[in-house]
Amino acid sequence: MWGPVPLPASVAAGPNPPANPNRRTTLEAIAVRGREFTYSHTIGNAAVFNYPVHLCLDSDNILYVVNRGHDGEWIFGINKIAVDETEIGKFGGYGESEGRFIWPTAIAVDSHGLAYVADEWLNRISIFDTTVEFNGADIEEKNFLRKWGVGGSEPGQLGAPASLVLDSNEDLYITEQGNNRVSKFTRNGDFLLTFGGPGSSPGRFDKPWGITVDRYDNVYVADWGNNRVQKFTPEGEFLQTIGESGRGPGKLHRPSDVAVDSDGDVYICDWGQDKVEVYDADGSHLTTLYGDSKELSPRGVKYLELNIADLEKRRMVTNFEPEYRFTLPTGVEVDPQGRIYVVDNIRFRVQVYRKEKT
Amino acid sequence: MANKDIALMAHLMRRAGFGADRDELERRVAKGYEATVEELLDPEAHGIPELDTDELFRMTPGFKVPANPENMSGYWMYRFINTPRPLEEKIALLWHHIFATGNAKVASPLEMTLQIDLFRDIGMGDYRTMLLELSRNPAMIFWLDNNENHKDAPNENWGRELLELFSMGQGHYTEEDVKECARAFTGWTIGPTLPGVLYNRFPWEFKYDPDDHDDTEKTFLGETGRFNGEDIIDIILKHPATPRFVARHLYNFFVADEVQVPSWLDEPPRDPEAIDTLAETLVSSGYNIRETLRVLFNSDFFKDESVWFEKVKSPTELVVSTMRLTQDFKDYRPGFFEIAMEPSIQGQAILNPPSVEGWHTGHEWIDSGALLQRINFAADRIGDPNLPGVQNIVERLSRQGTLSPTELVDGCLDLLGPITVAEGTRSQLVAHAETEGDLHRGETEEEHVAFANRVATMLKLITSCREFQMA
Repeated sequence: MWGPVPLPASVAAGPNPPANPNRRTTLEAIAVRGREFTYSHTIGNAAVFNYPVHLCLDSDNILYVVNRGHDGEWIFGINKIAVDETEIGKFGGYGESEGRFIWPTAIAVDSHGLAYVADEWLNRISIFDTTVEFNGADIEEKNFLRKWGVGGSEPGQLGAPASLVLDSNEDLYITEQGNNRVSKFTRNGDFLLTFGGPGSSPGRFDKPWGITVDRYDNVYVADWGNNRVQKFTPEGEFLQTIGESGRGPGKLHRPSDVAVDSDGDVYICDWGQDKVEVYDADGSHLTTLYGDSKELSPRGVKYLELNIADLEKRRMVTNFEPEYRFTLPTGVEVDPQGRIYVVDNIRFRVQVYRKEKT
Repeated sequence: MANKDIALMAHLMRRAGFGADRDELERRVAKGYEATVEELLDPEAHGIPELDTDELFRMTPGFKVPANPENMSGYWMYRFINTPRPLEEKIALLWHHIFATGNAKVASPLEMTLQIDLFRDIGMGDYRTMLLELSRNPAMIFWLDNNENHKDAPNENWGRELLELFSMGQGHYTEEDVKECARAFTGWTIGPTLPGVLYNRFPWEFKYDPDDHDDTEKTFLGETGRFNGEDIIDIILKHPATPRFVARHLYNFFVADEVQVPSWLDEPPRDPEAIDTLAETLVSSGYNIRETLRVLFNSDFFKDESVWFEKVKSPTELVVSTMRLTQDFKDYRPGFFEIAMEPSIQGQAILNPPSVEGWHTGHEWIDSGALLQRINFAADRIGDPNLPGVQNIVERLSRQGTLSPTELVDGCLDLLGPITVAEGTRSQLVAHAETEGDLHRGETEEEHVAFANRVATMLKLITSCREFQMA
């Protein structure tokens, strides 16, 4: 039996943060205004990903996950992995040479199977062929095709590209956190337009991060430092702010990424508060996801089958909540089947939810 | 601005922080010595913001929940270099010296980081809280085996070190006191932990297990009762050896190098009156560390020039003061890990002390290998005219117009400290400067580069002087 040791109030609070009273403590479907959100499953663990930051899906619903690794001599590169966690292969690696990355941030794959990977240290976009045969292996930079991008703040240059997305014409919108702007390029790197600039007024940015487009090619930007998401026309004209700065459910603090589903619902990774906020197309708050990975990923299950000592340790644990919640979510994506993928950066995994209309 | 005021402020900033460049020293002198002490002691009350780590964690998420020793050390090094509250980090470093806990055994970089966070958060509060929090700190419990300290099988490790290293020092308690102390802390343990192999590290939790606590009568330092751990700490704090032991640690860390801690039983303090003053302040203030440091930094024994440069910089101090002076890595970028690992190469693996006794300090920081490494590290950076802090020094000297060899040497010594070197050392520096004659800033870009390079070379030479190794 455990009990609290009698300590004065001044020292009673330990270094661990108290539980958030706003969080649900059990897993259940969330029904809200004609939608139901349910947790589906978890992909990956520390043996699969290493500080994953972003993902995208190709036309076959295959996931491409960008791993940030750490600032050392190793990095996990990009995973090509199926929704059921079948590992197809990996590519990329750490370094400044062609086909490698220092600080990879984001990926987009076009209809031809070409992957565009942004690197915010090297200020370049690297292009890879994802249609090559992987056979489950890490092929490092062998599928590298070419790169473009020049660092700088002039129009057409790149200042720490933080994320990117392809529109319906397969042009690229790129957030530049160093230049506090969004720039649009063709896939070959020809400059098309730019908008934004530093500041906090509508249309301005403070270190923007994630970006997406909806089916009308409207552009949504996670305005990280301003604690909001901004929506623009394809030409960069400001339309709307989604989410407001603050603490708690429905409020944003340092949003890292944004996705929009076919109904126009908006999903925002609230990086600074370890949650995902969901809004409707009008910007009205729908619900909050905190992470529900109560079951291990297949690789996690396999690990415990082979490591009995750790399994025994887990059997003594009474509170698993810290394990199934998000920690610094950095990427969110949706697919045509209504699945919502959340890149759970610190937890080396992707948590998958499902949305159904009711 | 009087040079003696700058020199005194530089002394304060070397001890209460990690040094300061001339711009900062001038700002602080204009504000006043006592006002600066107050700002250092209570930055929150003076509107000094906390270090914003959001951008850091965005760039390097591994620092948020450290999973390996590189991220663990790197995070603290980033804080050392960039904090606007240098005394908070300095005090955390002091407590890490005293409550020396090592990742080699704890094997959780996250728990180690949380312990340092604790030192930062409560490090200038009262010592009773410090001892209580350390008693329930998971890293400490695991480090000193208190999770193996059971009612029917006591483990004395924590109890012994609490008395010997954390509060009273040798010679003031008996073996029986150690055993009774250990019994009082039975049941102070950690809960089952989530293994970090699947989804990174998770914080451990302190748990008190009343069923495993020995609730019977104990006799400790002459008092008898059914003591729990908290009672033991209260009895320890009543003992006259405790404030003197803590005071001597504060003196050793902030004022002047003492003999190594194991010799304190036999060797009297370097300045007994200073220890008396600090010990009395600890008692009268309820063991308030902030109040005691206020007395220390404003005391004559701290301000006296006889204790300036009387401490050998620890490797961490040498590295951090160099980085802050040169203003390198103010933003996180690739290559930072080499900096983070540098104290380890020089003999101080922060977060991994050699034992629970911590490091031997003072001249024991120096051996032939470490000295070479220390000089090379500082020389490479302080001799680099491309670094912002070095450019500031060059700019200040260039405003003086043409410099004679003597003026070049004295100007560099002044802006690196001010540092006063032995006359023989100064003569050699001047002799070196004289080989190239007077130094003109000139008008052309080439002349400016040549000016900067000569200044940088002189700065580099000074880093190899004995005095540069001292704080």
